[in-house]
Amino acid sequence: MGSGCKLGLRKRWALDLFSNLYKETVAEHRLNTLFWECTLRCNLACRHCGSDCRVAPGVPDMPLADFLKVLDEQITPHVDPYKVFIIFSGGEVLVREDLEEAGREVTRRGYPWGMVTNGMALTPQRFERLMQAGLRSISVSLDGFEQEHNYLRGNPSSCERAMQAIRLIVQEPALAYDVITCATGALIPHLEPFRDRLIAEGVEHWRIFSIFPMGRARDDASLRLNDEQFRTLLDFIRRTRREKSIDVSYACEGFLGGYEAEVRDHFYQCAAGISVASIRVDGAISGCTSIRGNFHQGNIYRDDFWEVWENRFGPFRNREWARQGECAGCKMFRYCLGGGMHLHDDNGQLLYCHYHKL
Amino acid sequence: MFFHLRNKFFYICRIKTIGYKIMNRKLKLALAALLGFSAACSTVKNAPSKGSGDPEAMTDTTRIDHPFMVMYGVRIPDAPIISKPLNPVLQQDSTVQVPESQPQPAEK
Repeated sequence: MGSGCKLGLRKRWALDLFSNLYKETVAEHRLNTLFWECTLRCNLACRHCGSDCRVAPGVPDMPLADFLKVLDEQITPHVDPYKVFIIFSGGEVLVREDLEEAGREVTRRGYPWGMVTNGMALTPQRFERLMQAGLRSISVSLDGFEQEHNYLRGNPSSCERAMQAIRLIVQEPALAYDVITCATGALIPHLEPFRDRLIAEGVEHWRIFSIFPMGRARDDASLRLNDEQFRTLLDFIRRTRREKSIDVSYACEGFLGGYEAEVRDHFYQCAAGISVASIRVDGAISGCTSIRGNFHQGNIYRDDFWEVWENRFGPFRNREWARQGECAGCKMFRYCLGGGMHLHDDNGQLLYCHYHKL
Repeated sequence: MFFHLRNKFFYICRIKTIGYKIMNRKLKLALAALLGFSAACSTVKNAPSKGSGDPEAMTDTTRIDHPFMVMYGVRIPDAPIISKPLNPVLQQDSTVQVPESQPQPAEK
């Protein structure tokens, strides 16, 4: 294993403390983030889409009224709405013509909300309407310079559209935002100039993901970082954070050994089913939308959401089932609990381990 | 008299137990801070613990304290969130007809 695996004593003690404290969080499992997968339609067909979204996915959008009914009758009685952040996700949420209406309805009920977008359809007029509807936070995807981004997104104008969207959001003081980047091997040599480009555009918050093998990315190994590229990426993030030129962090996934608390603001945790739930486009109730579509704990068209949240999220809250395969004898299991829920296949096997890439 | 003293004893024990648990959590957080990892533990620091009482009453400006960002989620706003919809557009009546009975999934 590489040097990134080494945990100093101080960090190891802190991780032990955090793990202990985190057990209380798990026991409490207080919902504070709710994804609404409002569509699987998309105006792009990205090579790395984990949800295999497309223009006509064959799955209809969930009617807004159905989502609101669950919100009103099954969630609101149990939560403080202003403490639950609703995230509209897809697909590409901007393809929904009633998105602003959805935002207004959610805001009217006291819930703050945000959205993730590829920026293709975020015009100044649409942006203004979304702000009027109560938009509080937005993430725009930009996967590199024009060549890298357009290659991944499969559209020659996608990079320019994303940049235009970014220029809109960075100027809005009432909006939390960040730029999210899926890093491929092609981007690794260009991380620093790309960072400088984002800073020049006024971007202050940046998150970087690595692509996991799901959906259309499942069988395309060229999209994934090799071990050396992954370490280079983490070294870059750590170095940039120390320089404080831009607030950059690695995505929430993966226990990162010696990089813990140095490439993110927090220690690793998988919040799926702990504080995060999803209502998927077909009504399925699950943890995080990154989790494979056939792993769900109920359906709003058949079950009570809150009953499912309280009683059927056992696999999320007790992850001993993940102690198998390469996790079985791993000493880091007490910190990582077998990694992100989205990185397990139908047999519970871990698709890959971030720690072992270090 | 006996039952009064017994009940008082149990009450004091319960207060000390709750206090111990709270102090234990605070001690852990203090230790994490001493180690220099207070921020890294902030996601659990802000999580409510059992027995902490009813959540704060909703006010016009209410802050959300859960900085943990999920992978395809969004940044949580730093600024206080105004809970009352002040925008006049939001004052209008809802146009969405919420079904009274269990909704049925849309046909493909």
